[in-house]
Amino acid sequence: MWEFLQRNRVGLLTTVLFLLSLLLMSSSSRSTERAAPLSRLILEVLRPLQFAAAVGWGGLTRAWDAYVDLRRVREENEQLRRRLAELERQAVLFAEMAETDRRLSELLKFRVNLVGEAQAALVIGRDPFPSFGTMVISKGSSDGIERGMPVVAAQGVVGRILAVAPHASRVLLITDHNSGVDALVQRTRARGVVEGTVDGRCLMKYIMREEDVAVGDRVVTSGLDGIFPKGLLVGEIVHVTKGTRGLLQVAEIRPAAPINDLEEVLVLAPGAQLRGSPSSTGSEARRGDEQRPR
Amino acid sequence: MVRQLWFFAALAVVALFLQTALLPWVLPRRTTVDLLLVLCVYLGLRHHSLPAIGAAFALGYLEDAVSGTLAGLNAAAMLAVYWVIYRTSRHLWVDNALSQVAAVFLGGVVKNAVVLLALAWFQGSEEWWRVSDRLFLSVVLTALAGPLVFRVLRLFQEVLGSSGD
Repeated sequence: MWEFLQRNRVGLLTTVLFLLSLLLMSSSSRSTERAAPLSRLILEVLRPLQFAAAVGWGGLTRAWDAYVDLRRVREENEQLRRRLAELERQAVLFAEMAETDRRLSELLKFRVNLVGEAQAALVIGRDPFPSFGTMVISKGSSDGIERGMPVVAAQGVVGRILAVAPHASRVLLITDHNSGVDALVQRTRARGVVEGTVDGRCLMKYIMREEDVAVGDRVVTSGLDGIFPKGLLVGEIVHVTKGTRGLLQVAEIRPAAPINDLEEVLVLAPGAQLRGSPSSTGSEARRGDEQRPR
Repeated sequence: MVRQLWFFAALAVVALFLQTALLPWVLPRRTTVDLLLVLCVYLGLRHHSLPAIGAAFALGYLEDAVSGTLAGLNAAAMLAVYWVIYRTSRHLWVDNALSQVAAVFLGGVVKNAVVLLALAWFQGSEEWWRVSDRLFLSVVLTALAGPLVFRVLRLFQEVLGSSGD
C-alpha cells in the first residue's frame, strides 16, 4: 500500500488537489461572494505594485503624450513661423512695390510736363565720403547719357552728369561744393547761383543786395547756364544773410528734391524744356511770373 | 527546498504583477502573456515532486485571486497543465527552445480547454467561445515567450545553486 502511494504520489496529489479545485469551483459557483481570506491577502499584496505600475504607466503615457503633443506643436509653430516670415517678406515687398509705384507715378507726371528726351535711371550708389555730393545712377553712355546732362527728380533739380561709363554715370549733386546752378527767385526774379557747401547745404549766392529775397521764396532754374531748362524747381529759401556792407546777399536753400533719399531720377537730354512756355518757363515759373509784383 | 519555494513564490508574485499591471498596457486588448502558465510548465518539465504539485495549485489559486469569479478555476487548470506536462516530459528527449515553445503551447491549450470546459459546466455559458481567437493569440504569445522565461528561470536557479529534481 505504502509502496503504491509512493509510486503514484504525484498523480494522487494532483488528483486530490484537482478535486479540491473542483470543490472550490462548485462552492464559488453557488455564491458570487469572493471573500476567501487567501484571495484577499493576494489582492492586498499585489495592490501597491499594481497601483504603482498603473500610476507609473499612466504618468509615462501622459508624459509621452505631452512629448508628442509638444513635438507636434513645435513643428506647427515652426511652420507658422516660416509662413509668417514669408508673409512678412511679401508684405514688405508689396509695400515696397506700392512705394516704388508712387514714386514712379510722380516721376511720370513730371515727365509729362517735359518736352524733349528724358531717361529714367535708378540711383545705384552714393558717395562714400560725406563731404562730396555725388551719386551713381544706372544709365550710362550706352543709353545716350552724356557728361553735363541735367538730372532731376519729380520734386526738383538733383544735379548734373559728372562722369559717364557705358552702363553707369556719376551725378554731381546740387549740394556738392563744386556744383553751380544759375537760378531765379521765383517771386521777385532775383538772380543768383545756387552752390553746394562742404557740409551738404545749398546756398544761393551772388544775389544783388537790393533784390527782394525772403524766407519761403521758391528758387527755380533760370536756364541761363545752358544746362538746366528754365523753370525747374531748385528749392525753397530758408535763411537770408544780408550783411551791412557789400553789394551782395546770400540765401540758404532747402533743396526741393530729397537728395539723400532719391531712388529714381530723370536724366534730361540737351534741349529738354518744361511744357507750356515758349521761353521754356515751367508752370511753377509761370505762376511765379504771374505773382511777380513788377 | 524552502529556499526554492520562496524563490517560486516571489517569481509568482512578480509574474502576476507583470501580467496584471504591466502587460495589459503594452499588449493588444484581451490578450496576455500567461507568465504563470510558463512557470507551471517549467515546474511540470523540471520539478517532479509533491511541493511542485502544490506550487502548481498555488499558481492557479494565485491567478484566481485576480481573475474571474470562479475560485479554483485556474487552480484546476494549472494542475491539469502540470499533470499533462509532467506526463509529456517523460517522453521528451530534447530540451531546446523549440521543445519549450511546444510544451508551453501544449500547456496553454490544456489550460484554456479546462477553463472553458469548467466555465461551460459551472456557469453554463457558451459565450466564452467567442473569445477563442484572443485566447489562441495569448497562447501563441505565451509559447513564444516561453524560452526566454525558461532561460531567466534557469539563470536564477543557477544563482541559487539548485537544479531540478
